[in-house]
Amino acid sequence: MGNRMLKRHVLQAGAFLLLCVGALAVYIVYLQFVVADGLARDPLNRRGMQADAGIQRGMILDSDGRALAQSIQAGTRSYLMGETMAFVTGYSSSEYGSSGIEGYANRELLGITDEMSRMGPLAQIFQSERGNDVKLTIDSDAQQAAYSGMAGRRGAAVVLDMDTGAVLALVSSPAYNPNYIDMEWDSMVERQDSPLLNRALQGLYPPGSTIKPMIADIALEQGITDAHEVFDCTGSLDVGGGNSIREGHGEVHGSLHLEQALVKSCNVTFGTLAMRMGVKALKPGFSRFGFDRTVDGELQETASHLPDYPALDSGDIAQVGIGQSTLLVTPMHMALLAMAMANDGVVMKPYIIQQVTSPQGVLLREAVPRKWFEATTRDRANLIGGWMEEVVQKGTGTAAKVSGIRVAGKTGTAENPAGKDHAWFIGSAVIGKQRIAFAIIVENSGDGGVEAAPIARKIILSLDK
Amino acid sequence: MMTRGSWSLLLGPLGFLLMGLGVLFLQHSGGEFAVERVAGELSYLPWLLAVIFLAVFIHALLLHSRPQPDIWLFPCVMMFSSLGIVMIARLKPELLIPQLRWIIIGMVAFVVVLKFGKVISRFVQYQYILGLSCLLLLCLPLFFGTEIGGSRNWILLGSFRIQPSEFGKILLVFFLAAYLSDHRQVLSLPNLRLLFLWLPPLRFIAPLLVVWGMAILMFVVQRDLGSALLFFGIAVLMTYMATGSKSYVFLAVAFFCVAAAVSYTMFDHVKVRFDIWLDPWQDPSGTAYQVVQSLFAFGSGGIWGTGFAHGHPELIPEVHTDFIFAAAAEEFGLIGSLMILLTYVLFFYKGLQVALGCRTEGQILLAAGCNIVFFLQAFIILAGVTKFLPLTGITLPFVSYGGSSMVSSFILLGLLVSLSRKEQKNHG
Amino acid sequence: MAFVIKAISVGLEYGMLLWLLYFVSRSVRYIWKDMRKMGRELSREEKARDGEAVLTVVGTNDQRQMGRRFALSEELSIGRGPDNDIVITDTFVSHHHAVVFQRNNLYIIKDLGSRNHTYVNDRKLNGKAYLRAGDLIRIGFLTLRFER
Repeated sequence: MGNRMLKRHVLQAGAFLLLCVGALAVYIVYLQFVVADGLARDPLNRRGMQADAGIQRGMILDSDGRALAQSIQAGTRSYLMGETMAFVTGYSSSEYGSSGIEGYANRELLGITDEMSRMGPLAQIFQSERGNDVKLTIDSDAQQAAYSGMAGRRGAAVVLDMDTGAVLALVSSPAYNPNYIDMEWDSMVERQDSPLLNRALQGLYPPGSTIKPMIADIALEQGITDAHEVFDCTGSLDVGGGNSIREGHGEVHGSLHLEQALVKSCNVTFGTLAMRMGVKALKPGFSRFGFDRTVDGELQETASHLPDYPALDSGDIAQVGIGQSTLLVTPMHMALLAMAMANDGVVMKPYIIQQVTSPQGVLLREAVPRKWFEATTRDRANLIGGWMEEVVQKGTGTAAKVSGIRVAGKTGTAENPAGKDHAWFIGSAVIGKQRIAFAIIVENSGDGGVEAAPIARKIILSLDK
Repeated sequence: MMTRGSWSLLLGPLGFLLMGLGVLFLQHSGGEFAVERVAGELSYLPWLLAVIFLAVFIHALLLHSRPQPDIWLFPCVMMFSSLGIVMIARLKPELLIPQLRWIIIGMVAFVVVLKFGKVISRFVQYQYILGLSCLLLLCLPLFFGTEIGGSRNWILLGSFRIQPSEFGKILLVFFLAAYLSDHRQVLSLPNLRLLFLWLPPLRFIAPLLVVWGMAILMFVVQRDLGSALLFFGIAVLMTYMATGSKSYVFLAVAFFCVAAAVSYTMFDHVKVRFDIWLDPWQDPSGTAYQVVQSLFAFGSGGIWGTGFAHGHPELIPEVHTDFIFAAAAEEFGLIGSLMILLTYVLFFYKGLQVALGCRTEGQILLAAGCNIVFFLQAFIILAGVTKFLPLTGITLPFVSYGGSSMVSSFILLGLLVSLSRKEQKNHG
Repeated sequence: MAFVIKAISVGLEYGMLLWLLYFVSRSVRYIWKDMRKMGRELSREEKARDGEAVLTVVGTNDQRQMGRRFALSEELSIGRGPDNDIVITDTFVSHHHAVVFQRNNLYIIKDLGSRNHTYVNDRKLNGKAYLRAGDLIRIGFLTLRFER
């Protein structure tokens, strides 16, 4: 009798433990089946790097087929353009993991396909001695021009092909040298100017006046102004609460249309427009231009920092209208804004890997250009795009003028707490058959038209082959 | 009764072992089969042959002894040992011979316990001596202990390192079986009412409280969280089995929660463990490094695994002891890890049958206790390395590297098998 | 050569998994059979118990004992002594008070010369008597009902 009860309790305790182990088994299935791929590809997972040992890593090539990174034999990797391509190629270190294309396309470079990693031990048979080659969309000349244009100053440049979204140049300065990453890592980490930070994709900056084309677009879309309204610029705008916004260099623009306001980058006009449209129009405007999205995958971008809408008073709204306040954006996104204005309002999804080929030359994967979103209508884009051409012809951006080439642009001079203003220049150009959009920032260097626009000119010249 | 094909039970473990060593041999020799090279590579051979011989001998002993003991438990253990041997040969080749040596010592201990099983299970009468010696053994490291790997639960004897808690668990099972079977009636007839809990007079539960308290003490002073959790779990489960009273379980769990909460706020090492469990991605290359690497191992293994000796489990620190399952999961994949888990379940199932087949209360509790030690220990560490529960370091029975753990596990196994002998009488 | 070694190695790796699978599948088959056997035995026991007689506690001074059932087999002894099958800690009960046993599929209750007697349906039991379903047996404060 007594033993029966005892045995029943033994069974109950046993059943409880079995239940626990059953739950554990379900969890292991979750780990090794459901989230397995994510864990296997995690950038902190160094197994990919370890696999290097016996495999000769594939090459990273530019759009003309020139090598950017290559391994003569397994285990040694050289980066032929060093710092210039640092943020394109990234680095591959057994000690510090990987970044850039080396990180994103690691498995391709090692010749490991998704199918193989699901195959189990059989994959060992299919593993070749040499990895696949990854061909990028990068134009080495444009990249070189942009990097040398930075001249060691802190800043970033992004150049995109408007027809496809292909990245032609991706520059961040200062840059580390991927050849010496293991040796120089510690000093790189300590440096105040953060040479490991990819400013083009992960740097967040106030856009300054480069946001004005978008504000003009929202104003026209909302119908709160038109091309004919005459604004009166007295050099200063009272935004309430005893605050005011002023023109740079103490200028007074007098009476002017929206076109002239954009060409002369009139703060008073755009502050007025922003206050007139209010948060209700600003918020959908920012999301229409894709500021609530990020480029991901092969180009890991940081999300823009949008203004905290409910907390904005009229002064803040005016500041947002001239690209200040708490608004922070990446150079990549400003290039997309420039693309929208020159491409009938259409924004193509940026990409950087053109194709992957096997060592035998078999094409394994090719990029397909894809429309990402429509920022504005063709009419408004053409109207504002035309005004931006005027900026380069006779406004603040004349330093980017190249004879015989249609160049449009918008300068920006963004105030920031770190010191001198950030110099911005965003825009587009039609060079023969190639249509490009770009964004350039030089940190704390001063006037956008003086410091950033000349770099755009260099890039355009480098592409005019 | 001799089951048909009983001999082939050893085939699985043996085949697994030899194939695993074969893979390693091919990998290390790299296509060169010069005599000296091969001899150097196979220096473990005498030890391996001794292990295989002993395993066959023991299996024969079990098959031919009357009344017949359980014949499934030992092959399961051989499966675990094979897994342990190949994983250690692959991860830490220099520890392979010591591991084989420990298995041999363990098997000898197993045979001895089996031989004197009757005598040993009579120890159950001396409950207080058992209790005291258990207490003493566990307190030893407090005075003579050495800290290794953050836990102060080792004793150095010459060149040997012993973990008293591994042997303490044997005594604990004995003590609990003895005490609980003796006081079962009193403990299950409660007469004290505390809110909604029925409790017996304090003097009867005092020894249980001492055991619980001891577990918490180990938790705090020796920093041996794994053993503490194991001891506590054994005590609670055995108390429940003996009394069937949910009040004890409730009391124990409440007690445990309070102790855990207090130590979370008071002791950094507990707080760190818990925080890692909540979110290992906060500090993946610092404090949570081990757990994160273990998760990567599970992920990289996927369904089929990378193939034995072709993964990178060496990235996990301490992979040959506590994290050996993560290594197996990476290289044998989901299939392998579930198979290993299932083998533990089978082992537990057979152990449960042994317990249910016993005649006296003391023996039932003893068998069930031994059985729970293995299963709970496996659960605690497997849940730890998969981040299912907070990680508390403890060995995976029969698989992980570790002398004390191996020998004490074989002793417990010997007890369990010797208690299974009467079972066959009932069923014929 | 290198490829052959690679192939053999891969074969062995799968072999390891197969051995593991072999062992586990045997185990699972065994457990499955074993559980079915146990299930059959249990149901057989259940069936056997249907025709079995039981004594149920229907009256007592200790509420916790209320409703307890004792299965009758060959013989069942009642008394204060700890060697009885039903132990009653009650001073009105003798050490070996009474015994219920089976004879030709019938149950008989026999008083063992107890001081305070055994009552069947409130009538004092002299020596022994056959039990019928529903009979009430009173010993001290304890009342048991015979059911079958």
